Amino acid sequence: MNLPRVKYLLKSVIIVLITVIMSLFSNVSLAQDSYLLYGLKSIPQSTYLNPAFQSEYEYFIGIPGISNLQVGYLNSVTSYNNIFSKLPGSDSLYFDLNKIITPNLNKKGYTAITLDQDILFAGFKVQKALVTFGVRQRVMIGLHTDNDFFKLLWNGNAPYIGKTLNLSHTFINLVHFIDYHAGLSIPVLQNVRIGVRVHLMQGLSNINTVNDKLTLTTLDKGNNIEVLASTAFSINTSGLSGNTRFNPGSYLTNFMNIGFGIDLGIDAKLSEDFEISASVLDLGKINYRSNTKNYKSQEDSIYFNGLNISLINSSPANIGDTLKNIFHVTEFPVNYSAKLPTRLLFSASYFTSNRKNKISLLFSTRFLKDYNVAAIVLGYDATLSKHFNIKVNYMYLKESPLNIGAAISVKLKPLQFYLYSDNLLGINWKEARYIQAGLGINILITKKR
Amino acid sequence: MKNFSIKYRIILLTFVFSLIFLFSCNKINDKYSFKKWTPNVIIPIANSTITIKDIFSNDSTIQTAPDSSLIFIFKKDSAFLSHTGKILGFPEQLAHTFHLSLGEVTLDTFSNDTSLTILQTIKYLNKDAADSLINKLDGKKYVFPKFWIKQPLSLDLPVISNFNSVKLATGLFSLTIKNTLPVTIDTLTFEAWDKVNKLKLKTFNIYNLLPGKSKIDTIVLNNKSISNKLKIDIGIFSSKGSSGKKVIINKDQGLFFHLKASNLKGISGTAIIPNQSLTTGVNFYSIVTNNHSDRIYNLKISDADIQYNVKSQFAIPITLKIGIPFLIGNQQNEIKPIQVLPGKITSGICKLANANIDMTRNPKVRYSQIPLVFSLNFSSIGKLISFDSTDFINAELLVNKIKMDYVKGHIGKREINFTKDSTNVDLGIIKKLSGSLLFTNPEIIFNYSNSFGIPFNLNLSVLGKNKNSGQQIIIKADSIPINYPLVTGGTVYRSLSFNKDNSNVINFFALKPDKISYSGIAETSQNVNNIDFITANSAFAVDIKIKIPMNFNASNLVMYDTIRNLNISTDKLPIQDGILKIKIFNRFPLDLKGEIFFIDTKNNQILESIKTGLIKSGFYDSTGEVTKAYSDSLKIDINPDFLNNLSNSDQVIIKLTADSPNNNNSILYSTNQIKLELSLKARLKLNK
Repeated sequence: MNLPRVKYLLKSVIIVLITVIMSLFSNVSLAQDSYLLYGLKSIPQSTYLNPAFQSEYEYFIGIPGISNLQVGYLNSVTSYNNIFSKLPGSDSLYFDLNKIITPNLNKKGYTAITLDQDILFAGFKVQKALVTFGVRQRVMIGLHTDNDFFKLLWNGNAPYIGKTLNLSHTFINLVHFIDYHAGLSIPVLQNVRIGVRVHLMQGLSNINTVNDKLTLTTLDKGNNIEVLASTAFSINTSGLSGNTRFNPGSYLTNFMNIGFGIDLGIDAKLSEDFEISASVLDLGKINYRSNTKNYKSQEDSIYFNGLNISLINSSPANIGDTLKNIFHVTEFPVNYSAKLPTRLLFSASYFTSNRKNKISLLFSTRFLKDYNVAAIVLGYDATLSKHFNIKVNYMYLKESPLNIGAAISVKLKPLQFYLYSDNLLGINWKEARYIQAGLGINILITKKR
Repeated sequence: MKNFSIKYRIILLTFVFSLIFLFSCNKINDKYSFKKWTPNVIIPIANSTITIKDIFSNDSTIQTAPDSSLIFIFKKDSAFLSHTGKILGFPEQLAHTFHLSLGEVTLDTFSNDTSLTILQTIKYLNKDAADSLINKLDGKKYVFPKFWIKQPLSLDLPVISNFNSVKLATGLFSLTIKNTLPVTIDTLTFEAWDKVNKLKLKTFNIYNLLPGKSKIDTIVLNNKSISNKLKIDIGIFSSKGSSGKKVIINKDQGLFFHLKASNLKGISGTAIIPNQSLTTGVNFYSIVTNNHSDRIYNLKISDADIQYNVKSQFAIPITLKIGIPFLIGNQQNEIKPIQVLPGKITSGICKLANANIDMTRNPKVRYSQIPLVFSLNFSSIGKLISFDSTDFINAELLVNKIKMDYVKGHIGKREINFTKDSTNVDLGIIKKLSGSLLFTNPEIIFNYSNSFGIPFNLNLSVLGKNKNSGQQIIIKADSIPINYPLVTGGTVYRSLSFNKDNSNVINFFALKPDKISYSGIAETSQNVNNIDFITANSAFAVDIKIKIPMNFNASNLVMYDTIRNLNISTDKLPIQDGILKIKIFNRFPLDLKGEIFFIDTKNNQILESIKTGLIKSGFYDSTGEVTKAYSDSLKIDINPDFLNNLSNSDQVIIKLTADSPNNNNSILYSTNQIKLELSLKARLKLNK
């Protein structure tokens, strides 16, 4: 056995082990969509962000399960340190929402958690076309909050007598699905490529909240306290086990909730040193048919001035019935559809003459209900050698203005190992509002010429 | 690999370990406190209305009058109940045995003829006449000579076929003697004899019997035994002849005898018994029970079973018929013909249905008798049989399952005791009250329905008892005339009332009785001229109704209610402190004071008490109806001590004191209510 080959294999094993250890240490709770991968064409997974992107390799295949794993967290309202503060002379952290209530008066908030994991990913070139396919697990959790939600949570309703607390933007959406996808990138003009990726989505579970109006008004009419609430609010769920025991087997093999989606992209080389590209991602929806439930308040408004009960003859059951009648939430099995939050990206890049350095500007926005997550990213790519690429960028998010990101890609033939984070400052996670990281390992094969 | 320089390796490792650090330090080891999280909430808790019906636990006892005032109503159906059977005392089963003898048997009438010619008698004639006539019997005219018989002669009558020998109770032979000679018979003397018994039946003397004429005479056979063989012995037979005149003479001329039997009733003997019926009447049952003044004139039995066992001593089969006479309408009085064979017992059951008996048609006793008629039908069918008037049949009758439909007559003096009974009266909250409570116009009403057509009086007694105090009080009324229907099938509905004008009923209810006992005696009228009636469905039923209009005067009326085994776990309440505010709206015509005591029974200690102070009565008009609520409020500080006391208490006593305002009467209306509005303003405690 020759020694270089052994060393090569040993290095590969060590890198894989580091990756696995990282994934174990990373609490899967933080991430938002990646920005760094956009335009980082040395990593085949960059085609996730624009299906028109071409790969440098004839064939590539991801290590199953870890060819791409990224997690992200975004909180538009606050950071950890903002709600837990230490009082002088105390070693305890006090929960205090005052810091986010006052400065964010009448502001909507958004908290997102995402997880993307490749189960399988591969691609190959057919002449000038690039074909990719794979299976990907995706989790998206979005919690939308009103400032009034925190006011009510922290202060109670007593300070707001005669005022209306508006919680109409407080809701949660969750989706967990398996994405079976196939992409095609083809040249349409001499320097223009277009791409498309189609998705067959297997919905596993979903919570989809529709909040048309949710308000709370407390009135003090002399001796009579009245509570008025608008409750045009409904929750659709699918795939939640409810009272039955969770069965992972049946959960993962449930093909009742099927959705279709499409990604579109274009990549144009305007000159030798200037390129532009754009893509639209996650155009599609999932139709939920399995174990669906719709929870809805029977009335769009509730007036409550105390339980109308007989203090003499009421039993707890009567009181329960009375409350049930007032806050009557109906539960019906209703099939429904839920759209994916569509994302739009646009980028312009400038290359140095040797094309080993690139400065890029990226605009990205994801359209959420009542909220758009928009970012402007200024990036720098450098090909340090044919084995080593790096990228650094600065990203402006209005929720988290300062984000310094970095990505590194290492090719140890035939393996490619890459790491990236949109915000290295997220290492100080107690102050960060945006945290994101991802990694992956691919096997890359280039035909000898 | 040679291109993978040390510099790049350092950058790579720095980046890798930075990310590892970034994600591995997510584990949070800080101490957390939520002490500053004390949201202030203000929430309406309950909006409760306590109506009078809530206070009276049994809603059915409180009713609303047309003017919306409230009336306590208690009902007890069928407190007294008496049916027809109890009044009349009709037995469920009747038994009777009767013995029926054959008695006199009617025998068929019969007749026979015989003749005595000249030719037969010529040898008994005197010689001159005999010599003269011997040549003149050719049917030509001759002088008929004078003649007489020299010696008696005997003539047998034809044998009677209807019997061999019988003893007759009654009987009559008519004997016709006709002169067929052409001359007058001067003297004819003869005797009729029973040849077997050698009994002379009668002697006949006939004179101057003209030619062609007849003479009739009879033989009375009453209480005589007679055989079927008779003869005539002629002692004198003479004539003066034709006295020179020529008359037609032939040999068949002489005497003609015609015997006819009639009215034959045999006592015994051997005879052919023609088809005949034997009927007898039996007074089967007397309704006179233990009261001799009963006079039942009309009785209708809708249904009954008659079970019979009949034994016959007769030599021939008989048909026994049982019937009821004096039926009204077109009903058949015959129940069922029963075939009874000689010497055997015949058993069976027959039905008696819809027998409407008019007892006034019974000529013997015109009331209270249920008559039955038995008739026997028999015949020897042309055969000679032996019989005797003492032959008999024995019949046993058992009448049961009697359904009496209707009785009309005079039901004699009777006393019907209604057994003493009692009922618990749920006076609801009234019985929980201590203090003075005088109702203005309470009433005990006895609603009765009577379908007995019998006048009677009722002696009534009502006893009220308070179980707690042991006190009791009686209300009595004697000889209350009870109305009754005047037509059959009618029912009268009337009421009796014990009220403040005719009884001490106010004191009765001031006692707050929780148990009422009642008894009664009904006495029927002694007037025999009354025509009473009872049907099968007749009944006398009495319902008791207690009616108490909620119009009263209350003084220091106290009601306690206790909630035991209390288990308030306030440590689960996330309340740091606060105020429970209770707004009270009193729409009762009563001044109220409320107190709530939270008690630790183990240590016999009152841990917490809440007092309302005086809650004045609502504002009421001249009719006593509250037109506007009096409002007051109560604030209860909720603090850790209060919550702790609630946790440690295991019993709550609620004391409510009520007084009629200004010592006026209070009238409760359905609109009376206490409205409570409970709200809580509290600082929540979320710092576990």
